Amino acid sequence: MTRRQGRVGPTRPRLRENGLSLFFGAILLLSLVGQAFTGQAGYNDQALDSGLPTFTLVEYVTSSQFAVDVAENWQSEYLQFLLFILLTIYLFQKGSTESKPLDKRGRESDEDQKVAEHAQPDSPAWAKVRGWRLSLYSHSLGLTMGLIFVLSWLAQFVAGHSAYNAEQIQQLSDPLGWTDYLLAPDFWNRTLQNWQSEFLAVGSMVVLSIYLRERGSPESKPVGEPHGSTGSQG
Amino acid sequence: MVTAVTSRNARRYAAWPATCALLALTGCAGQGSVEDRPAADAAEHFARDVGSDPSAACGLLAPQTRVKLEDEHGPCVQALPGSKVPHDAGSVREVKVYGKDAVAHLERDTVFLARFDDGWRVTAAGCTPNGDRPYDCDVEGS
Repeated sequence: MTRRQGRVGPTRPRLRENGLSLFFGAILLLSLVGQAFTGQAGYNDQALDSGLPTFTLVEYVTSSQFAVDVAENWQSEYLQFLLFILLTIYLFQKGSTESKPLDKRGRESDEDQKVAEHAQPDSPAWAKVRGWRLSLYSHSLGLTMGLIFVLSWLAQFVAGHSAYNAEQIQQLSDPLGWTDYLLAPDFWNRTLQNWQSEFLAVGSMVVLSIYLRERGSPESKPVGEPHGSTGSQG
Repeated sequence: MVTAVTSRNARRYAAWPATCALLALTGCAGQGSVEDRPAADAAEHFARDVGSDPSAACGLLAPQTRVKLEDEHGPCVQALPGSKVPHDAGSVREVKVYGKDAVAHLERDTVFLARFDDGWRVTAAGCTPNGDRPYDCDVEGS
């Protein structure tokens, strides 16, 4: 009995402490696998109808067609979070869980941010001493999100150019050069259709969290919290 | 024999998004595809064989293209030389490959190709530009 507890003991707390990231990691992989199978089937259906070569699964997941479909969604997600991270420093929404309290505008004081001489013993090492490390670490989340956004968008452009030109050739048209593709409706339509959905999702969350509740969720205010209360979490 | 193959782009596959981004950032995005040469070779062989060895040229047509040609004009070995596809279109001046699709501009023709399991096959030939619209092709599969 005691030995049994000893075996499961260390694993379960770890799962519990990381459940959110593990769950999202798992459904990300499942979704990508599903996208790969359905995307391959869709591509091959069209290819067979047109008498063109089909893709094996491996060929499909390494193709520009799959890459552009993945990248166009990734870039918009990271843009969404980048904007959210940066804009909430300066913009407020009274009553929203996604906004800071109205008196906390800007980068806030070192004391509020627990940096340098205000750091706690268990603060991250780069937060404890002034200098370039503190400056870099103070913006590390935005920089990382921004970098992934730029790389994903670049990947969408490169893969999209290749996928679009393959389609052009299949339709007996000349492929486009890089500059022409940068101005092409295909590139901007892929980009903007993803951006608008992300902006809608963020805007909805900002506004709906003022008036609606989900008991127990940190993304919601406590059920009995007034609508006007800003920045509180349940 | 390919006398000049310009590969302005063309990667076989764009691979993973991160890889693409890195390729683009490191300036590798403009490098030619390993398929440029095989695609150009197929286009040149086809162009050369249309007049001299129609049977071989027919063997280089994509299945659906050949079926359509034969449905409309009879046996390929007679229909192909009788079409508007030039009998000696010359050598490839430029080829562009994207995944399994390619277009080859020869001296006197433009040829579209696709890469099947048994190699590059001609999907359309005898093609003339049509402004911003698709090429007008005398032999095509769709």
